[in-house]
Amino acid sequence: MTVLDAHTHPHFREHRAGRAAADVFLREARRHGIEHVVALGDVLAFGRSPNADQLRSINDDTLWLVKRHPQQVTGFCYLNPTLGERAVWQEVERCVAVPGIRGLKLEVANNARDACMRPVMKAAERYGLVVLQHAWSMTKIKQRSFHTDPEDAVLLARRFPNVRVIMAHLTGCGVRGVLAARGCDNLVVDTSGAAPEAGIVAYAVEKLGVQRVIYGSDAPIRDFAVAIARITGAGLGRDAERRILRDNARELLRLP
Amino acid sequence: MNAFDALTWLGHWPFAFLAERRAADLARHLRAHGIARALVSPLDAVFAPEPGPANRALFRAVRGVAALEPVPVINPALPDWRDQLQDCLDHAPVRLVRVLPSYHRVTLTGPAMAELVSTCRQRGVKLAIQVRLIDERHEHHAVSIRPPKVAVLARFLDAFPNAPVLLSGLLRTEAATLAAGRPHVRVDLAFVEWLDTLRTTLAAVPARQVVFASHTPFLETAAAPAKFARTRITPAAQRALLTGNLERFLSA
Repeated sequence: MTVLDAHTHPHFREHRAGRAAADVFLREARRHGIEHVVALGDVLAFGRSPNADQLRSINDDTLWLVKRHPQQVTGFCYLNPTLGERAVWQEVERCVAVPGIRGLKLEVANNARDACMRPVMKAAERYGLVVLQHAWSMTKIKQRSFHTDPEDAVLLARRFPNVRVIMAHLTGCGVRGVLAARGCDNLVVDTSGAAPEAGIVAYAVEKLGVQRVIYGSDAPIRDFAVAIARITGAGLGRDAERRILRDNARELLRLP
Repeated sequence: MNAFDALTWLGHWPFAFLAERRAADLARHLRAHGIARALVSPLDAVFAPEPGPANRALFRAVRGVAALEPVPVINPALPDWRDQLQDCLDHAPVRLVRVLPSYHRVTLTGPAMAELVSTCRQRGVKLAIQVRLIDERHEHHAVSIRPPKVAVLARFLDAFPNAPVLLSGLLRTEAATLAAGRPHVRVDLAFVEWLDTLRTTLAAVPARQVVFASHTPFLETAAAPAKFARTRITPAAQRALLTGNLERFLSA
């Protein structure tokens, strides 16, 4: 079965291998049957709140990769909403000029419920972009002032019902995150995050429906084979596996 | 595949919807994932006032299930830990005992651990330290449990340089830090992960110190053999990680 990975970071400065490492990354993806990846950028390369120059540097890597591998890579433009409305629009418009940029990536510069998200979501609406919002249960992490809890990601999606939102990290969001996402039809959850904890993928499918769960690995932080095994080991059946591993993301990203 | 799994559990866990299997069912489940044999510990010992009843239940449960080798839990923070250990040794052939320092508030560098290490060596029993059971970010909101610090684990390991110790539940960077320069230490792969996990791990940890582990039922069992499915490490290294290293550790 061919696979579409909705959550990857092909550039990782920790490796100090430069852009060549991204080519190695894509070869590794192909070896695991992954025909297409969403490249989200090396989002923590400059800390949790990068400035405009740092953002451009991260996004330049993504743009380079999308141009180099247009059939294999979709790019998401990484944003820091706290830089303000003008900076957000400038960076979005610079990135969407490149074919293959189909989404916006939000990390931990701010919480998804913050007012600074409004221009981000307006830009997503204007250009028909998917928004991938990092989320994790803040029950133990205690960083909610800038780190998005699943309830915050769901609130964002409800405030902007015309924008398709990916709530990242099913395993980090946990049972409470799945329950929060019920009834929020413009939000899907990706299966990335932490170790392959048993039961959570099947639980998400049961509560949200198979059409609202998409495969994501978070590679290279995670192993493609392990990330795929979270789905194939969950006892869902071949049809559900195909939807999660490929079809749902293809429809969400409007890929051919 | 015929793997020998260093970390599985039987029993009940209150904080997640985990599969609760009988011993024979666990063995069948593991077999379906290419795991021929497994070390198994009692989950009910984690929050029990003392681990004796859970250990005895484990011994009864695995009797006649050749694929499962019992690894009882010992709590050296309790005054009766010597009796716990003796009780286990009286019940079954035991090659490994497991200590859960975070869940049982065990001081790794304290006198009870020093005596346990010494006693285990005298009795020919190996020691496993369970560094984490689940990602500490996902613990229940009503409990406050964090894994031992790497520096504390390192002090413990360095205090007993001749005592064979299996560290279970380490993350990738923790495994690299704690295995380096400590040939008496083994690390399991349950929580170790990165792009091409095995090649990345063996670049940082000598192959002879790494053992296969699924951490069933906490983690998806299929994820553990998946690390080997398309790896580019040598077949000999794969065999060592899947079976040989753990068998040699237990038999030494």
